[in-house]
Parts: sequence; structure tokens; C-alpha cells
Amino acid sequence: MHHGSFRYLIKHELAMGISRFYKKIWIWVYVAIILILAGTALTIWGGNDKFNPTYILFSTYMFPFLVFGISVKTLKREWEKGTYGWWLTLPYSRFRLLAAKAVSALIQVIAGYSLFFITVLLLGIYSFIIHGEGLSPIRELFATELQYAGILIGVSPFMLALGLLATVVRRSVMKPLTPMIWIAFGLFGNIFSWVSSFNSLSESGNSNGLISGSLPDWIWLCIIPVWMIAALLFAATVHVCNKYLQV
Amino acid sequence: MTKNTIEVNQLAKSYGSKQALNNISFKVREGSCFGLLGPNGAGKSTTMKILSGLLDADTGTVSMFGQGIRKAGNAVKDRLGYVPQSITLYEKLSAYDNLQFFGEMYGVQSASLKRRIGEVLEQVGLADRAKDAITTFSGGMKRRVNIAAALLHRPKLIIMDEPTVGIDPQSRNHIFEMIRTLKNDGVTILYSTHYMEEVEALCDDLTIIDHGQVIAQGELIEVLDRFGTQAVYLELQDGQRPPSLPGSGAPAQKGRGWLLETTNPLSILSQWAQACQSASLQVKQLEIVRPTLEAVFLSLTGTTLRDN
Repeated sequence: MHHGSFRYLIKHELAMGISRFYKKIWIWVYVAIILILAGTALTIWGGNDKFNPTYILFSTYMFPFLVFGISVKTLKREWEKGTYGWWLTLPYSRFRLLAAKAVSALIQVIAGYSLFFITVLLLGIYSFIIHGEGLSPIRELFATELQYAGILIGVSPFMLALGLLATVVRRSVMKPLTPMIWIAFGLFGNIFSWVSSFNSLSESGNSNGLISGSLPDWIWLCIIPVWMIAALLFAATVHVCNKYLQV
Repeated sequence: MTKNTIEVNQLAKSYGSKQALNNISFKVREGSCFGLLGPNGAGKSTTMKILSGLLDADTGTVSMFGQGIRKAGNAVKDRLGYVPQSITLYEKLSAYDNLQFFGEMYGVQSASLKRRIGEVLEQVGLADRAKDAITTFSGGMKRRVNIAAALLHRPKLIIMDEPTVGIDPQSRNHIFEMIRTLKNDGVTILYSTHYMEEVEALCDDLTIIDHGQVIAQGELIEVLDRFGTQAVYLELQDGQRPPSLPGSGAPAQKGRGWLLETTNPLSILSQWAQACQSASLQVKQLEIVRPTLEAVFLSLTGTTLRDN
């Protein structure tokens, strides 16, 4: 029984999340405006020494916060639509129900990151070509993107698990823990500021707030413990959902 | 020997200092319709939530199909259909799409799902509205789709938490008919409500709870006989007052007639018939009246269900 049902859970989550989001016209209007502005700015002021396409990567600073938001929205929807009673009585453990939410949120996040980095790379190629700088800065841009993507992949599971925990805790007898979650949200959401600060202290650092050069190895080594903490947060979410939920 | 689909034993649950359930116990016979009756705040929904796996009890045990629900978990949920108190549908999706989603979630194989959706929509009388968005449905129709969703995986037990609250009479009658059909098909139904007439119309057995405690339970007839007082109803032409009977209490007015509660209804019936004949009063209606659940509740708690 229920062969493939986990797949259906994820399919449903994606249908409720991604497809609905992308069906909203105003989202595309915003995307178009941002692309036109970025393209115009790069056409007029572009070039490695002026408006470097790398500067667009500043917008990744908000991504960890967005991951938290996507995660909260995925779970909060069951309460907003009044479907939580039905959802919780489905013949699945709460671990599986929450795992489906987490996986679908992660798919959305990875899809979003991929789109963003590909778009920035294309804008970079456009800018470097029209300003006659050739293709050599593209390699540098790509390398910088990889570092940003690496940090985002490192911190996203944590923000995602934190979002699920925040949503469940708020609807449980553990509600007084909510301020602690918000503190963690603020601290870890600002991951790029922390990395940038540590990086500017090192020799390879860049004082303009952007990450450049190679980040020290210990930053990459931190990813594993962060993922382990994310797993613990997810386990805590399941536990609160099992034992302390107020329904 | 009759098998029990549900056995609830010494169930207790509190929310902070408020004791919602205080050691309640009852058994639901296989293939029966069991009514859980009580005023708002009596503990019905808490009981339903524990039985459906939404909540854990503080103490006590619940077994379904002979298995403890804590241990059996999903094995029990597979055979259970739950109709929650609030409507749980995706408003922008059509009735068909909602049911397709619910069917997939319950593991109904896609090959048979389409046929099954057609069957349940027929069962709830909404086959012609399959492609319409839920947002265009009345409250009663939404409730019927919600019930259809709970039937898709052919559960052996259906838990319905106040399914007729706020719906139109047509949908209410449809739900009643559906429950009777399900019962005839051998499905066990646990039906929670604060409408006594619904329990009287549908249920074989019942438990009345108030302030988290069981105040009466058993077969419907048995509860009425044990806790209710019989009465004789008399209605005279032009709403006249009935003749008084020596040694009996004063009758109470009910509708256009009068009701006299008694432990010996046959004697009162006979005395009233003779007295009316002697006084040449024209009798429109004279009958022994069964006790009602309303009267039972009143006699047990001193309050009416809807007053609470």
C-alpha cells in the first residue's frame, strides 16, 4: 500500500508551491523589470572596473531569509487553508509528512538558485562582451558564483529546517521558544555578512563586502556541522509535531 | 460474539489546567453507527482528535480493529476515513481534482482512482458538479465532497466530527442517507454531534459526554428506557386544557397539547381517555410518548444540550 505516495506528497507540495507561484503574472512583471534594469545598467555602466556583474551577487544576501520564508509558507499553508486536520491524519508518519514539505521546499530553493546564477552568468557574459573585455573575466565570475552557491547550499538546509520548526513551535505548547528561533533566524540569515567579515580579515579578502578569491577551507568544513544541526532541527520539528502540537 | 471496531479505555486529556477528558471509556461495535453526543465543549472533538490520531491522550488506551493505535499507527489509519469538523478542501481546485489528490494520498491506484472518484461523487450526489471549482459550492456541498474524500479508500471505519453543522437541509438529508447506506455495507461509523435528533435518527449506540465525563451510554433504546421518563401526550380540540387527574402531577404544555410525565403511562392514558369521554371533550391526539434524548440529557444534567 502507498507505493509512490511519498512521491505524490511531494508532487502535491510542488503543485501548491512552485506552479501556483509561477502562475502569478505580477511575479513575471517584477522579474522582467529587474532584468531590464540590470541589462540597461550593464549596457551603460558595465565593465569590470565600473558596474561589475559580480555586484549583482549582493542580492544573494537575502536568499537565506527567502529560504526560511519558503519553508514557513509550505507548512503554514495547512493551517491557513484549514487542511491541517486532514493532513495530519493521513496514513503517514509525521516524519514523512514533514520530510515531503522539506524536500519540496528544497527543490524550490535549488531551482531558484539555479535560475539566479545562470541569469547572472548570462548577464555577465553579455556585459563583458559588449564592453570588449573578452571572456576571461567570465571564469572569475563563475568561480565567485560557485563560492556563493556553495555557501547557500551550506546554509539552506539549516534555514529550511528552522522555518519548519518555527511554524510548528508557534502552534504548539512550546510557543515561548519562538524568540530563540527568531534570534537564530537573524544570525544565520546573515551568513554572507559573517563570511564576508571573516574573509576580509584574511589575506585573500575583499573589503567591499563581496566574497572574492578562495575562501579558507575551514568555512567549507563548517558546512557538515551546519547540515547536522539542520538534521537535528528537523528531528526536533517532528518531535514537537508528534508530542506538543495544539490542534 | 460481537466484535468491537473501537475500544476506548480510561482516556484522559487535559489542556493546561483544564481537564478536557476525564477517564472516558466506550466500545463501538463493528458495523454499527455510534453517536458521541454532548454539548459544545463537552470533549467530543478532543475524543475524535485522539481517535483519528491528531492528538495523543495523556493517559488511557485506544484500540481499533484490535490494535492499539499508538503501536499500530499507520496500519490503522489506512482503514480509517476521517471527516473533520472544518471543511478541508482546496478551494481553487475542482471537486474531481480534490478527490484525485486525496485518493493519491491514500494510495488508491491510479487505474482504479478515476472510477472510484465517479462512484463516491455519485454516492454524495455531486457527480454532475465534478469539474466545478469548490469555491462555487455551498457549505453543504463542500461537506459532501469532504465526506467523499474520506470514502475514496474504502475505509472500514469512518469518524465524522459534527458533519452537519451549518449545512442546508438537502445536504443534511443526503448525508443521512449516505450514512445509512454505509452502515448497510458493514462500515462502522463514529458520529459526533450535539444534535440529539440526529443520534435518534441514525445511531444504534451512543455515549453522552459532558464536562469530559461519560454521563450515559449504551444502546439508544436502552439509554432512553433507563434514563428517560415516559409520558402521555394529549391534544384537545381548540387547544383546551386537559382534565386533571387525581394523584398525578400537572401536565406541561408542549406545542398545541399537553405532556404528562409518568412511570405508568398506560394507566394515565386510560384515565385521560375516560375523563375526556365523561366531560365530552373532543380528543385530537392521545398517545404514549417515548422519552427523548433531550429529556434524558435534562434529567441527567439539569440543563438542556443547547443551553450549554
